[in-house]
Amino acid sequence: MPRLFCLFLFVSMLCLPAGEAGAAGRHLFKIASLAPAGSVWAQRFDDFVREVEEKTGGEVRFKVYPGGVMGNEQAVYRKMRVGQLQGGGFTMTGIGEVVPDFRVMGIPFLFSSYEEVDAVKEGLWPHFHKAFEEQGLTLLALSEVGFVYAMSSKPVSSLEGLRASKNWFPEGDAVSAAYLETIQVHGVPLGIPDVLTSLQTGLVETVFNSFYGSVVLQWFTKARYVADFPFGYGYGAFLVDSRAFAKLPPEYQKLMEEAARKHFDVLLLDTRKSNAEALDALRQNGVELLPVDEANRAELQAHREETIGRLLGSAFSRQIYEETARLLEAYRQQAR
Amino acid sequence: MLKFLAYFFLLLVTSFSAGCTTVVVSYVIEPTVGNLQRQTDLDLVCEGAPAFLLAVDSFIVSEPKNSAMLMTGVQAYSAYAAALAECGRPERGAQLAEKSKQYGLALLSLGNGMAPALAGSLEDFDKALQRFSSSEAEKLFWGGYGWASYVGSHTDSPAALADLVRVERIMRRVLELDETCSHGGAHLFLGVYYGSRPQMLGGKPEESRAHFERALELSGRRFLSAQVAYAEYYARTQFDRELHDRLLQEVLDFSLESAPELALGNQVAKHRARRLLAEADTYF
Repeated sequence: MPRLFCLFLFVSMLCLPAGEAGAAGRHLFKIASLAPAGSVWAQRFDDFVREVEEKTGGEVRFKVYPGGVMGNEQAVYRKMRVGQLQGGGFTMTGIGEVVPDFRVMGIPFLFSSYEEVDAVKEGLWPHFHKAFEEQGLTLLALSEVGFVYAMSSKPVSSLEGLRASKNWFPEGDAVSAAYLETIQVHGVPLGIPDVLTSLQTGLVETVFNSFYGSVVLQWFTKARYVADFPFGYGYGAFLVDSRAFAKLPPEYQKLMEEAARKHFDVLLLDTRKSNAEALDALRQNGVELLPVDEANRAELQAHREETIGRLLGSAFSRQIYEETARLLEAYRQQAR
Repeated sequence: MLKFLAYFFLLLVTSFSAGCTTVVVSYVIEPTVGNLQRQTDLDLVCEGAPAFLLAVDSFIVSEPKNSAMLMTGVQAYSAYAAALAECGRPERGAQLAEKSKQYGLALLSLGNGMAPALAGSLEDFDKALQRFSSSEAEKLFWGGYGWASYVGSHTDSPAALADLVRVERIMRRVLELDETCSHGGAHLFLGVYYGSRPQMLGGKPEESRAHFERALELSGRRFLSAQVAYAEYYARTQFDRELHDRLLQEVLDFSLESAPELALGNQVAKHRARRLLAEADTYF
């Protein structure tokens, strides 16, 4: 789940399932994630682990490495390749290099509500599942960062404002980079750990994150103005190594898939709740939401199409984009 | 991040600064807190402390601006909350931590224009912090500590997470004023704080290590929570098993009698050290 642009949740208690775990169990899955111990992600993941371990009578066991102790997403992926790890939580940016089609929901200004997101996600699941499988990865669940907003150290609520501002974009995020280029906005690529310092020194003035991410990463201490129009959607995936997964008896595979979906559905609600509560916390700390007028909204959205034209066939395939557009349109039709 | 504070909670009361104003505090409550710290029977503390906490509450009701009393309140509630977590009742501990925050904020609000700045802008908050003097380091530390106890047991609350920014600033100010205050407690806080956050989310392992080392130095290695937190928040995340095991073994080998005034906190630390060592093969 760790995710996209930025992130998320954190904090508190991990408590690895104590000593008796470890060696016991015929099938051991070592799972790494960037989500800190004690974060909502880690809590729900523990629930998932508990259910699978109990229902398989301890035949399937997990060892969890939260908080990025196994390195960044590229490192986790490499460790999965060589069998050192059997699974991980990834963001769309991190794993997009391996499975480009997974980036498609990150197109800026694509979704306008969580209902739309949910409908499209459901429809894309089989496609994502297949694409990951082709790379030796089994998709067990999707997770989210949520809607991501432009947040600035100076008031920015228009395209002109963005153009005049120094904008951050996440290193390795081809989709965001292409969009910023399309709207002729100067972007500074930085890894997440450098963003706060860069906000403090003025190297960047506008950053992109979910409300919760801004609280957790403390970006709100500098980025005090939020343009009230979701810029994009951030999400991630819980993946395991297909070879390790294939060694499980079919009934255990099914059990693991069901448990993952069940607990990650709860996580989705937790994440949305955290984002809503984080917005309150931001306001209490003096962060201001700036309205974005209709003309600017229309213009920002219009540039999306142009961006997609540049990305098709490189950042993701035409097929996945067309399927996404079809699902979204179908949902909008029936919701009318 | 911060399972951290669970630890930090263990930073139990310790030497109480002079200047206590009332007879009640000097002769009744303070010694009682002292005795509580000497307890090594965790279950007894978990079962027996409530009556004492009620007494603390009633003294604070009658003297809501008595800083010594408020400090006692923070110490007693945060210590009890930490003990409850070790006694297997973390939810109850989380509820009681609300009281440590309440007393901590009351303590911070006693002067320096801090009351309106607590929920005001960060700039005003920083200005108010600058007005604290060295003689107020202890008050500032325990005010921040009460707040931190709450954050640590409410890590699922974005509002509490946002408060961390302020707690960190408090602890940094304490270091400027008097780093030796409460066995180097501010160093311990920052060690946990920088060590428990993933590096990509702002964690700073090197700073964490430096703060832990200084906390050990200032506590004369007698305040075992420092070693345990160092093992858990630095050695583990850096996969330094040698350091991890060495620190925890030092905790287990330490004789509680050699620091009777810290016995309760040290007992809790030993408890945790045993658990961490038992898990080490699984973790590393």
